[in-house]
Amino acid sequence: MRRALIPCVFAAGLALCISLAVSTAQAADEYAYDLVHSSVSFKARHLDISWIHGRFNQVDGKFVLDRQDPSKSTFELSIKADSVDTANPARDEHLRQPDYFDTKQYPTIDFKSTSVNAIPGGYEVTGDFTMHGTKKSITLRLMGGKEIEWKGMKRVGFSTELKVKRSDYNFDKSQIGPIGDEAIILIDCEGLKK
Amino acid sequence: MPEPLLYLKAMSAALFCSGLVALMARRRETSHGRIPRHAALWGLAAGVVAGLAVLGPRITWPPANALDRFLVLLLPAAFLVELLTDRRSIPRWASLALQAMLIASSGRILVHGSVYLRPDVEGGDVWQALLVISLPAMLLAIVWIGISSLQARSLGASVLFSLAMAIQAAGMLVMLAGYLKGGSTAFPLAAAVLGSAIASLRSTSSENERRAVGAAVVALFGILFIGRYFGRVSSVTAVVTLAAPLCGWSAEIPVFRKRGPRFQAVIRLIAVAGPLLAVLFFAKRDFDKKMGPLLHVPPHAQQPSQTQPGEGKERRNHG
Repeated sequence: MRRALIPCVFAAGLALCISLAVSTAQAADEYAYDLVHSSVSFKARHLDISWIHGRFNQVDGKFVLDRQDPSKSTFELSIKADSVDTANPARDEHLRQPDYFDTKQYPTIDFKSTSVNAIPGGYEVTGDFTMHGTKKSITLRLMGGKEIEWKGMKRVGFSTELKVKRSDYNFDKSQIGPIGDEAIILIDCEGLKK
Repeated sequence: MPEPLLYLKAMSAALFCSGLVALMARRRETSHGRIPRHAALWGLAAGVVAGLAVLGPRITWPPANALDRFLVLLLPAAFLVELLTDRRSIPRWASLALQAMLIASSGRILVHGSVYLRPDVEGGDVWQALLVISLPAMLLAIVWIGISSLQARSLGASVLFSLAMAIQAAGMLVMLAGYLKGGSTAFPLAAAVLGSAIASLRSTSSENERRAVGAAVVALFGILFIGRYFGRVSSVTAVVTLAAPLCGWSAEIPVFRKRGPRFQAVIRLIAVAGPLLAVLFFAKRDFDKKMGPLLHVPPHAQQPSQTQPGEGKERRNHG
């Protein structure tokens, strides 16, 4: 009886180790930013009476979600500043110039997470936000994280909103006037599992 | 938004300081029985500092962008090189080497840290980066040599006056292309050159103006380089404006030389003003076409009191 028990216990232990190893490997999923189903848009006050809306058309990024241990998740986003689009080519050209985004000197706007915490409905992500050559630590509330499978591909989506002041990021203060200092950036991103 | 009053104050400060310091320096040098050599250069430097102090362009250290690098590195380097090149203790070959090094490094200084040196970001290659650095440097060398040679042949301040015109035009072109801060920086520079030129009106030697001419050419180059590679000034506009002062050579043809130096000076200024006015005209036309809708009230956004009831509907039907 004992002779039969030992191999059974050994086999059970081995099976448990294997299943644990497999589940650990599957806990962290990497997603690539799906440009077609995502958007990074912004709005800023004009003369303090209305809003001017715009978007960035070229964005790249990835995120790694570890549902077992959210603190191991990471989020990265890189926005090409040159792709600013306010539906007015003349204004877009003006925004690319050194008085505003200075896209030849600072071609990208980047976010890279440094810590992630799970919160009801999503994640609280702290990271380095770099714009116009200035890096600041900011915290985002990424709401979403529901994963679905569509046509054989796994997808997950998040939304967030952040407020930034141009004056905090070394924009020319003399150009802050008709266009308000504060801008609201809205990010709705969908990730495609690799 | 443009601030005309501020620009006028900065230009006035630059003009006054430049002229005053140039006159004082010249008087000091001539009182020792020497031919003035640096008076115009000192005047130019003082005028630039005074004008920029009033304009307040908020320069950062370390330099964060091309304009900072131009004001903090390139322009002071030009002044220093011109000051050193005239010292008897420095051999001629060393002076030329200093000027050559300044010319060769001018583009590299201005594009430091930008996409032009990062082919991976811009999608270009190393050869493109080399072209951005070397081609403008060659143009600067040609213009610098041409203008310096012209100054050496001519007495008076007409070359400095033409450079002041070109720098002023360059500033306006950069502003019309959409870069307000970069363009406005040129205004006190132009006024400082003008102040030095006025102080040099009765000059009996071209040596005094030669040093200031070199620094003024670098100032013109810097403004146009920034406007072209960081603003939206076209290559043609930038090259025409940079080369415009070379049109002053037209006053050296024998027909005009016979008429005397004052007549030559007038011809020189007219010849330089021609291409500058042409590029300004086209730049203004482009500005009105592109930026006009952003700055003006659209035709359909009329006041309600301007139309009678029913009249608006009739107007809409007619388009």
